[in-house]
Amino acid sequence: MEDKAISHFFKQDGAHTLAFYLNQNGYEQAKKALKELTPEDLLNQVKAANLRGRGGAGFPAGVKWGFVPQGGDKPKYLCVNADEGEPGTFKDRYIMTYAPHRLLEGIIISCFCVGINTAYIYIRGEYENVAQRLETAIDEARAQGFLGKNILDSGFDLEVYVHRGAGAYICGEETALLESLEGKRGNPRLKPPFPASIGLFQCPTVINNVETIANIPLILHHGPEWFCNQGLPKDGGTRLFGVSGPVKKPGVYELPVGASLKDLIFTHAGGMQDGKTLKAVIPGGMSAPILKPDEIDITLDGDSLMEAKSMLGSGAVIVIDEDASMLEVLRIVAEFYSHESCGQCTPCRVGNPWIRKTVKRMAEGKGRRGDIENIRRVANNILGKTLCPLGDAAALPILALTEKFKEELETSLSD
Amino acid sequence: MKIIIDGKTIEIEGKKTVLEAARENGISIPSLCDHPRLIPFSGCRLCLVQVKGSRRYLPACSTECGEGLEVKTRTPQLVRLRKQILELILSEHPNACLICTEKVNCDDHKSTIRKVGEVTGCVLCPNNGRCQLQDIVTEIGLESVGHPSVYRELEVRRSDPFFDRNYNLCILCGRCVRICREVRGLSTLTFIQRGPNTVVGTAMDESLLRAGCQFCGACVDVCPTGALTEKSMKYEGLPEQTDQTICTLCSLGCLMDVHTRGNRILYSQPAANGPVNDGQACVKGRFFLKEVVHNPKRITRPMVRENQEWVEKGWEETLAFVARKLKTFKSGEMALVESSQASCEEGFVLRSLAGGILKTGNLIRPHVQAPVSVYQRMMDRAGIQPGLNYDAAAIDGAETIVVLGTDIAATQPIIWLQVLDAVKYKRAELIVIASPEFSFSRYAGTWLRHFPGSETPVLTGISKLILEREEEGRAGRAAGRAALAADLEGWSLKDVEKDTGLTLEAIHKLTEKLSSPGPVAYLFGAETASRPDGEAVLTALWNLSLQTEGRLIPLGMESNERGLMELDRDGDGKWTALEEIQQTIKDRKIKALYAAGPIKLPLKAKPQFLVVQTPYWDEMAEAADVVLPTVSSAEEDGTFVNTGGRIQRCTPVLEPLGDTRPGWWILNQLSRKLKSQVTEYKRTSDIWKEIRKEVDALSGVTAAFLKEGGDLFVKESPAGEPAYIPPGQPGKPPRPTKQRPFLWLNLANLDSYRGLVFSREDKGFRLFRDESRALLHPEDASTLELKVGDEVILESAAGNFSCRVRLDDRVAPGSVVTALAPFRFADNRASHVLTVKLKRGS
Repeated sequence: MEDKAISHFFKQDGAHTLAFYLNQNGYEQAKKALKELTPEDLLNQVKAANLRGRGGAGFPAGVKWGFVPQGGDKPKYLCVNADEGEPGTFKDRYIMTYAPHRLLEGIIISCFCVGINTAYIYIRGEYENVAQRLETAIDEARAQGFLGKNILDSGFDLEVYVHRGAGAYICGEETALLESLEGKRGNPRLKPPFPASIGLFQCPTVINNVETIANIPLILHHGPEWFCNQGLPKDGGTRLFGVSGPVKKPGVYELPVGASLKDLIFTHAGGMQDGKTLKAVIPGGMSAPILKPDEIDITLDGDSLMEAKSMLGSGAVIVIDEDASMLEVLRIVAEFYSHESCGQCTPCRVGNPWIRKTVKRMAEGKGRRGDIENIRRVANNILGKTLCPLGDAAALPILALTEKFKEELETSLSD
Repeated sequence: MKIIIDGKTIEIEGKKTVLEAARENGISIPSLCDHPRLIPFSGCRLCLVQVKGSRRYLPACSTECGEGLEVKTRTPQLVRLRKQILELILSEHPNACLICTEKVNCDDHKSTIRKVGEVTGCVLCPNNGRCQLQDIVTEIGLESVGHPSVYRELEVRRSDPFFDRNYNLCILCGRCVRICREVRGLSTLTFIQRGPNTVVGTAMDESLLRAGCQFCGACVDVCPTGALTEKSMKYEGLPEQTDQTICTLCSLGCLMDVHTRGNRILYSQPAANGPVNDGQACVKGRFFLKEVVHNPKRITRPMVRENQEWVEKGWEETLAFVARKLKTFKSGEMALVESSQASCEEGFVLRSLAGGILKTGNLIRPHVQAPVSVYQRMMDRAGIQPGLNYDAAAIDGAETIVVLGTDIAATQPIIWLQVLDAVKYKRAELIVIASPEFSFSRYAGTWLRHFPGSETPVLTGISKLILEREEEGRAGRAAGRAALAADLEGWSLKDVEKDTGLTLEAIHKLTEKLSSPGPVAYLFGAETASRPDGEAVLTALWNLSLQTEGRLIPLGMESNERGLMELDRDGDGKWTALEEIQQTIKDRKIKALYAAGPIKLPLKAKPQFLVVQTPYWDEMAEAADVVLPTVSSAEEDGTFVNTGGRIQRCTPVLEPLGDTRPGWWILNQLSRKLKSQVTEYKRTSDIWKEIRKEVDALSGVTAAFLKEGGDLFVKESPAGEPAYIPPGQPGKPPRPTKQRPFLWLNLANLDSYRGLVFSREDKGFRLFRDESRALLHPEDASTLELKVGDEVILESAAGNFSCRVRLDDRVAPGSVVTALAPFRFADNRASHVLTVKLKRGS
């Protein structure tokens, strides 16, 4: 079977080894890039493929790379965001576990394209075994001459380092990630300046999600046109969707961008367990506004989810059935963001704990009339008012939950 | 460029944020985390504004103005939003008083009781009345807080000196954290924990003392609430008056805002418009100025010893007595001592008294050992005019900054801030040449650890390498190159390696760096210049500076060294050394001593008649026959010249305490008693009429300057043609001997004022920087079986000194580092590198 999908190697024995990857024509694209193509060719191909970022914000990768100033005396850096902290998300772990060499090949090509000689993979601290696997893969690749000095006699040098995070959600935010990587407290930076001009160690930096980078060899292999055709014209390729919750077959599914959410849940993931009824779906990681069952007949791409006032985010689909209490869902959401706020700006630092306390009180049966309105008022004060996207990530699901499940939540209130 | 704020078109020049532009044009946007000295943080979110074309509200503090930008700052939505954000802030801060309906009448009806363990409202807060949070609540007009308030219940941190930290009042604006990192370069304070548990603290939550705090007080000054408060003013309430004067506790002369009530200083803060300090100060100016003035050791009445008893007398009677006594001695039997912390006026009158009236050349002038004097003297002898004046630009413009042997961040913290700024933000390279590792060395690109006292071979070695590799390079420009080359023949690099303990490779590497193009600033202090071999070190440094586009920047010790040096500059260049005077006192040749400054006296051989002119009751005053009390720092009415040649007025912020008088007044009155024709000086301007005539370098001090101040420097003749100074043949740097197996470095100590040693006066200061400490490498300490706090006796050629042991692995093994006050030494040099034997004390 030809390698035409990110998930091609998933769950195959030994897929993570260099021997296996080479057997599957691994590193051929890197060879092609380094030996036959110019950085401009590569950038044009990535731009033509309309590859959008897979981390959450969905920014076109080619455009992002294009922002990096050429020349200059400062080194440039690539940071691969493998922090994968968004609750419900576990797709990058699959890539790094089963296809670390595909990621490395993507890194080589990306770095060559942007003119980078040092790449960091910032991986969440909990992924200890995955980090080890990456280290092993890097050692293998270096031994084979795919990393290090003068790769494949092309004159191109590249070192890749794995950096493990220490367990803060905020470090998945790209500028907080840079701070953390620099050895500082993981607080987000003010933008502008954007990392493309002033990033890691004050140098131009590209930050991409694992899945984004892992797509690069495929684009090179089959061409941008093929890649575009896989998905939508403005949002090419496939995406990995991590389905969790009471479905028959939870797991990672690779579907074209623009596939149906309903199909994903009821066909690919096998539908609801034990004949339960679907109550709600969070379509893109916990920060994505929740959808009710009548809203899930929708295609999985950034634009259509935005239209439905939610977001595709990291493609983590959390399925919720009739047994779940929405108050409990709200409590978990509020708890998480309150805990993970970095503490820098007022609305998020003070507002989220305040919401958490109110929801906790409601969960203890001591809710009061007006609580939900107050929660919404505070959430609205967070939304769009904070320094980094964490504020929005907290406010959006809370606003959606309190709007769409207001009646159920109100039942917990005494007067 | 033009921007529009609230419909008003505003013309803007240069790069500015919306907040800056608004404030400059009288449009107030509330903000708590913004501070003019800090990089925008955008944490409080109070300054959110509406910008045309932006979906989100943007923080005014970090949004830069662009042509045609349209901003609205007070739409109904924004007003509501600000109230809500402020409510959130106040839910973490005791707020009952802030929104109390009775707050207007509170002052009339409630007494202010601040002696409480916990501050739960403004009336209990030391910062009441000077709190930016109070101002913002008033500005925004908040009347209620919709959220229940949360008291963090954190323990108030009181164990560190000078200020307390009560994080129950902290609103996490981060100003303290940022000023500590961005401006002071220390990062002692940081945010710890996260989310709702975020607090400001130190690494591992250590005490400030252990976390490396320098107690500059910058964090206290930027704190918008009462979270950080100066201990000594906790119960003081608000000042009545604020005046500006310069701090005379070191050679820089920072401009300070001194806040007073009645005739008492409540506290002092660095003035934002300070020409040398730019809104910053150090521990001394910030926390010790008032201690110097209101010190229990102050003497407030003239006193005469009568039959072994001290009797307080009036000035008239006392001075008449002193004059009568002095007349009984011959010129050669009298000696005088001055302090380098005396004003130019005092210095001038003292010189008139010594030379003109008492006709004695026995005037001990400690400034002759100051780095700037040593440098000037050496240059003078070589017939070179190097240009001694300098200001911040000399450091700011340097691409390479070399700090030679001095802990600049401790001794010259404000000059260090300029170095730091150049290194941190302008990519200048810092090179440290020193035996101990100083805490600021972490900013150094290169740190050369040489054997203590071997600076001359280090620098000469580099000179030789540059000369060898750059035959026709920059080295060719100055005159005297042939003589330099000839002398350098005698310096073997092998010996340099042996004498300095450095590898040739390390010296080569540094040579490389110093030879790269771009101006170099060489900063040196008393540690090298004031040593017996100071001139040799400076010669080597001077030659190196000529080879590397460099300039020498002497760092000072005491507030008016330069001013007093300028008074002496046209003299014969001779001075009486302290050692000589001491010998003559011992030999009973000197019978009368007039000490207007602290010196080490052979007390057993006290002269027949001892007059001590001092603000403080100290050992010398105790031994005296007459004590003449002078004013101290902030009461001083006088003119001071900093090491860089900047002339500044110290204007009194208080009436002189008790019956104290400025030194110049005392000396002038005494002179008149001795010789009736002497002019009476009523004010300092009377003295300047004469100084202007006699001292050309200070002739710029006009009546207008004395009244209004201004930027004024010592008049210098234009810098002459530079020439190399032949370094002569190599000497032997000190090496440990069998009898004295350690090398003892005494670093500059600037923590005293007119004999008052701060660490002896104040426990907090002692904990922070103890004058009597001796730093030892832990391995040496364990060999000698010495522990922290043990007394150790340093037995050296300069005498025996008792110190307290501190362990510090940044001290090179085999060496011991102290910073004893200069007047502890009999030869009045600020620094030494001596061989020493360490002996356990009792």
